Parts: sequence; C-alpha cells; structure tokens
Amino acid sequence: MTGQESSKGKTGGIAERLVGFFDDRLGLNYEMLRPAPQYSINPFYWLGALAVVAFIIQGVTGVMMMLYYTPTPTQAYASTQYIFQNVSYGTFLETVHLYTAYAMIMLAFLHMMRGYFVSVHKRPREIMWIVGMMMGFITLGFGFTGYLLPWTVVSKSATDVGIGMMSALPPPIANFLNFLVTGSGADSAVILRFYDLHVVVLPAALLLLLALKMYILETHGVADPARGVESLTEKKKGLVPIFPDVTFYLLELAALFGSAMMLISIAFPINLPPEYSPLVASQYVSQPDWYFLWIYQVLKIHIFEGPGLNIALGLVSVVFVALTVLPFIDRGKSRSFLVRKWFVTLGAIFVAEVLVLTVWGLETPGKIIPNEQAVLVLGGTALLVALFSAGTYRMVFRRLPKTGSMGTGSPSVTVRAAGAAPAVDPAMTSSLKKAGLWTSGIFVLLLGAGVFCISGAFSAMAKVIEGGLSAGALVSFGESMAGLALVALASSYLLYRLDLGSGMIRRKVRAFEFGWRWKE
Amino acid sequence: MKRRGSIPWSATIEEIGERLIALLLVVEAISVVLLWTLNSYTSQGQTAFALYLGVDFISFAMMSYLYRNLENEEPISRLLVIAGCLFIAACFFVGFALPS
Amino acid sequence: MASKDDSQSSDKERGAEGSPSPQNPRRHFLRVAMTFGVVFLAAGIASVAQTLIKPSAPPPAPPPASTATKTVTKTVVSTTTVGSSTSGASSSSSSSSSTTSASSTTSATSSTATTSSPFPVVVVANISDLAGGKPISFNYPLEETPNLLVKLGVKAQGGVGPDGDIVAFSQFCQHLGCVWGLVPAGTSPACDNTFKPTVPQGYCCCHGSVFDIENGGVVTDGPSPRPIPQVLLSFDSSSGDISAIGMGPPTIFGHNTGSNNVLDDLQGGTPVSSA
Repeated sequence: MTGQESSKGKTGGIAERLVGFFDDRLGLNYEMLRPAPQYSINPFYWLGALAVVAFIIQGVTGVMMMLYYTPTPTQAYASTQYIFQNVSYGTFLETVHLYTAYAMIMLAFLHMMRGYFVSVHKRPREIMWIVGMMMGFITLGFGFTGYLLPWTVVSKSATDVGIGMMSALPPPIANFLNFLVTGSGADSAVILRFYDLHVVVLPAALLLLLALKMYILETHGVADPARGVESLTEKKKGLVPIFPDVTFYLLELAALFGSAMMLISIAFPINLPPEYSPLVASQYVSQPDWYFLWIYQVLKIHIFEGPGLNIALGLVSVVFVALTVLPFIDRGKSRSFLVRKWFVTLGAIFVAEVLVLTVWGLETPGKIIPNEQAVLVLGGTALLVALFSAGTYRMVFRRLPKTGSMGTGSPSVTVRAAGAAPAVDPAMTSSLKKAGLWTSGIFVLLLGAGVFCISGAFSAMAKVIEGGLSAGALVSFGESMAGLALVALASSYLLYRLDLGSGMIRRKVRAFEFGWRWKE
Repeated sequence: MKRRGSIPWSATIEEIGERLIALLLVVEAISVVLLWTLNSYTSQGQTAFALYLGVDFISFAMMSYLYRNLENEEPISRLLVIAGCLFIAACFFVGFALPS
Repeated sequence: MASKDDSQSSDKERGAEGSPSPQNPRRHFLRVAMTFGVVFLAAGIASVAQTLIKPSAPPPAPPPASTATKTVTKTVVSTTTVGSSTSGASSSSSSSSSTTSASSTTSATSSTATTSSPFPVVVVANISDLAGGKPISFNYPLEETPNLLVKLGVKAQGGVGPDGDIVAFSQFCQHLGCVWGLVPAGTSPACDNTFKPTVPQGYCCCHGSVFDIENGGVVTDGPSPRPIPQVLLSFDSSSGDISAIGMGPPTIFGHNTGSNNVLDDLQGGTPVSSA
C-alpha cells in the first residue's frame, strides 16, 4: 500500500487511484505526515495518543447519553436514572463513560511523567510541553464538570467542596472562576454552566490544543530516545511510513484499549448513588473523585484549616505552575538520566507523594490530619525516595561512563550499558534490551508495591496513636515490614541484574544464571 | 525472543501468519454479525454485546500486529499470539454460555 | 522523505506494479485482509449506534434493559395533588404499544394473606375513613412507595369491602415515575381542564397518562406503557379495617420496572412495619 504516488494514480491498484484522487484535489497523500522512527513503535510513545482515543470514546458515549439527559436540577438525576434503567445498553454506556474518563486522566498523567523522565521538554519542545500541560488541565476540568451532572449525593457534595475551594483563590481569579462555573449561584445555573463547559467549551478547547500539538509534532518529529541516537541499531533508526504501518499500529492500540475498557465495564458495572437532597447529603462524607484526592488531602492537614486554606491552595498552585513552566526551570542541556540526577529524583518524589496522598485520602475520609502525621508521612516518603535515588545513582550509575548515550527512561534500567562495550553484536543488544525491559518492569512493580506497603507503617503509627496497639495497627505494621522486604528484594534483584558491567556479583552467584550468554 | 532453541518457533509463526490473519478476519466477521443481530436489551445482552465487541477489537489488533510484523520481518511474539487467541476463545465461550 | 520511500518500499513497489514476484499474491491478500479488517472494525463500532436508534421503551415480549439499580431511593416529592408535575425525565422516550390489553393484574380476592408471603400485612385505613370517595395516600410496601386508596362506589376489579369497590394502586406512574392523582367523575384536574371523565380515573399530570382504576388500573390514554400496580387488600368485616397484604404485577416504577416479579417491590427502600 506504500505505492508510488508520483504518477498521481495513473497506474497502480484501487488504493493508489483513490489516494491520487484526493491528492490532486486536497493534497492528501501518503507523504503528508512525516514517517515515524522504528523505535517509536512502542506503547510508551503512544500514551498521549491513547488519551486522545479515550477522548474520542468519551465523545461518542457522551453524545449518545446527551440524547436522554436533561441538565436541570429536577430532571438531571431522573434522566440519568432513565438512561440506566430504560435506555438500551444505558448502563453499559454510563459505565464505559466513567471508566474511560478515569483512563483518560490516568493516561494523561502517565504521558506527562514519561515525558518528564525522558526530558522531552528540552529544546526545541518547550512550547509543546506547555500546550500539553494546558490539555492536562482541561482533562481535569472534564472530570470536574462531568462529575456533577448526574446530580447524585456524592457528586453534588464533591462539587460544592470544589467550588468552595475555588472561592478561596485570590479575588480576581476566584471571581472569574465563580462567574464562569456558577453564574448566579442558583442550582439551575450551576448545572447548566457545568453542562455547557463539559459538552461544548472544554471539548472545543481540547481539540484546538490537540491540533496545535499535532502541528508542533509534525514540525519536530518524535523525540530522540534519551539515551541518544547512537545507541540504536540501524533497524531501530529506520523510518516507518505513516500509512499503513503507523496507522495500523494506532488502530491496534486503540482497539486493545477500547476492548479493555468495554470488558472492564461489563465486569464492574456501576450503580447510581442516591439523588442529591440536603437531607441525604448530610449522611455522606463529601470527597472529590480520586484524581483530586491528593489535593484534597493536602487541604485536610490541620495547619491548613481556616485562613491556612489559602496557603495550601497556594502550595498546590505552585506545583502546577512549576510543572507548566518546567522547560524554563530545567535548563540543563543534557537529556541523560545520569546528568539529571536532581530532576529525576524530584520527579520520583512528586509521583510518590501524589500516590501516597491519594491512597491516604481514600483511607481517611473526612478526617483532619494532625500536623505530625503529615510531616511523618509526606516527609518520610520524600526521604525514602531521595535515599533510594541517591543509592541507585551512587552504586549503580557511577560505574557507567557518563557519555550522552547513557541513561534511560527509568531509574532502574541501565542494561543498555551494553552499548558502551563496542564489541557486543547487535543481536545480543536486543535480547539484553528485552532483559532490561523485564528487569525494569519487575523492579518498578516491586518498588511500587513496597512503597505502598511502607505507607502502612505510617498508618500503623496513626492507629497506635489513636487507639493503642490494636489488630489494625499490627496489620499495618506487618504491611510495612512486607513493604520493606519487597524494596530490599527489588533492590537486590536490580543490582544483580544490572551488575553486568563487571559481572562481579554474577560470578559469585552463578547458580542463579538464567542462561544468558555473556561474552566478556 | 532469540533464546536458545527458540528460533525455529518464530519461523513457524511466519509461515502460518497469513492463515492466522485469515482466521482472525473470519472471527472478526462473525463477531460483527453477532453484534448486529443481538436484539436483547437485558443486562445479559449488554454483557454479550460488550464481549463480542471486545472480540472484534482484539482480533483486529492481532491481525494488525501480525500484518505489521510480517511486512517488516520483525519477530512475532509467540506468547502474545497464543494469549490473544485464548482470550478471544474465552470471550466467545462466555458470550455463548450466557443465558440470553 | 524520498529516501524513506526508496529504502522501504522498493520491493513493495515492485510488487505493486504487478511483476510476477512470489511476494505479490501474498502481499495482495494481506492488504485485502487488512482492508476488510478495518471495515469490520468500523462496522462493529457502528453497531453501538444502532442499538440506540432502536426504541428504548421495552419491546413487548422480553423485559427491558433494566439493571435494577438497587441503591436508588426514590425521593420523589409525594404530593398527591393532581396539579404537580415533578421529576419527569426528558420527554424523548417513545411510547411503545400499550400492553394493557393483557392486563396482568391478578384479581385480588379478599382472602387473607398466606403466612408464607414475604409482603408485610399492614392496616392502612378503616372503611369509615373512606366516606365520600375521598382518596387516602399510604406507603406500602416501602416507606418510599406511596399508594392511593379509594372507595369508588361501584364494583371494581380487585375491590374489597362490602360493595367490592375499595381499591388501591401504586401512585408512581409507570411512564416516568411521576405521582398521579385521582380525578373524581365530572371534575377536571388542575393541570388539564380538557379532561373530564364520567367515572373516577387516575390522571398523571406529567404527560397525561390516564388509568382506569375501576378495571385494574389499565391505561386508557397517555404514554404509560403498563398498567399501574394494584395493591392487594384485605377487608376485616368485623372491625372495618382495610389491610394491605401484597402487590400485584407489574412492579412499582423504579423497582425493576416492567418485570412481573412483585418481590422486587420489597427491595431498595425502607420497609413499612407490620402494624
């Protein structure tokens, strides 16, 4: 299907003639978009594209639900209930819409973090990063506005909390936002504005920014891998035509993602919570949806009560602003992992903190967090991650030459250090790379589980403070011990696997060899 | 994966690749036909619908994977192919086993 | 860009030109297969739309797509005045053919309830309260499900009492769950003064459904797709007490609406205590 179009479709099969037809009239041809490098045919490079696929699914399911939904306070819940009960496949639609929303937010976050760790925000892609951050904010806005629309107890109370938070921002911003989302403040105005934002304004803004981002992508192409182009095999550097290879890859990923969403929706269909009424709402603890829970958890710390709320919001805003203008903060020229020690560590701390805050928020609904506990948990997490990062950099990365070709996409993988030994043949490198992927994958999993379990230590302390040595506290403590063990296991596994430069450890534990042929 | 003794296996996949694509196309066609003829609106019907749509998507994804790698002579992961086929079979089985 | 084409597609181009290379039929087959694959993918996605174009009101034979959301608590304002029009859903539902001809209300005889029935037995009123044809609203079998009790003055299907004219029906319209009210003969409801029945009828102000409460609550006008569920009553001739002992089909709106499993009426709310 990558036929020659220079003859403009005079020869060739049906496909060529069709393309020639559109090329003559519209300029649409096989070469419109620049081809993709072979190394980018890899799911990590397509997280953003999957977020767009999720957005399309949202659009389709959303439009179908719009046929039945009425955005007024009296009819919002009834019409949503109608969709659940009386519309063909209504429950399926609603469930898919909700889970795909969660997936879109998660994919956007993963896309951002991958970009952060691989330093795509360096020159010349600074503006692309800022555009991407705005799209991320819009995605969060989708979640916020959409959540209110069913008018259930949980959603209305959560949105009230969110609107209250908005009012605590500095007056010019707060007034503008308040006007935008609440208008006169009456329920009917609020829900209508949220509906308009969710269905018209935010999708239009997202599509415009998406077009801009795609244009910038066309200008620059896919970013080189962080470890540098020299370490790639010739095959990996080769270019892949957009049509049909890259198109099919996109369709493949989209199909897998779509089927995963649908099968999950069937396995775990959702139920509609009760309708909002002040009486019923008084029995529910109002919490935002999980993607805002980390912000909410910060606000629940004791020191930020009352007038301190502004300070808390200021802190959260600082984080968001810092992420947005990251290209101008992170001015280092190098994209290598080894050189970007501080930023990599900072990024890891950020991810760990968000994770810990979210889980913590799920476990402590409605409770104020004492200051000491906050310092322990948050500071402890940061300290742990920093120590781990420092240890990894010192023990593992120090051995490797600090050229531009070293350093990879995650703190655990440096198996591509094989690239430093020029005598290694390419076949070995590719199998080592597969080994590297497995190593990093298992390591990240173990580390994640370990960090999660270690948070049990802090919750154990909290339980002990609350109610003395109880079964719950012991369980949490046991969790934390398991977490420490997991981290230790992960570290030793990592060290063993990575110690291929000198082979020192390997030679000592030859019994655990899995059959790798290592040529010294 | 170029492991010891593993090279003959990927060659087998290469050989049957086209037949596998044809088979997957048939599976996809069957699932589309079922999707359009499924008329029940019950919750069982929803489950079956989602399962067949999932089969449609996954069989296409497998076809695309095989096609791309066959065209570019890249190695095809046996594990993925087998896992995918098993998954499709499981979805079909559950879809038919559901009382409608 | 030209180099990409040359390196990657030089042999493909040869194949596309139709030269007798062994690759050609294979490649052609693969391309055709993938084209069909994409077409089927699109057809699969399109099938999602066709299920929504079909009428969403339940078809006559199989039960509708009601996935019984059991956590729904009906907080509909339970005003019994006919002039209210609360909690209607969007009016885009199509009215299906009424299945009321095969009215499935059981003939509620005034036999006492069997002890094995899961429905509570609740005294709801005394016959002396019902003088003058004024209706009484009571909650049964859940606090959230109001019903209307009335003495019609003529023998009615399922009626109890000495004249067989005391009936009770669920007050949630089967269309979208609005609360309907009683329109005595010769009067008009406040929301529609064109409707003036000659016999007492139930009238729903939201969309104009009319229920013939003398004949088991069948729908004689309006978009309600089913008759309203009748409450099974029992009359104690010695004391004059009227008790509710069960529900007839179909199910109350919001409780697996449309199925005939009356046991679903007991779920999703606070049961009334047997008094």
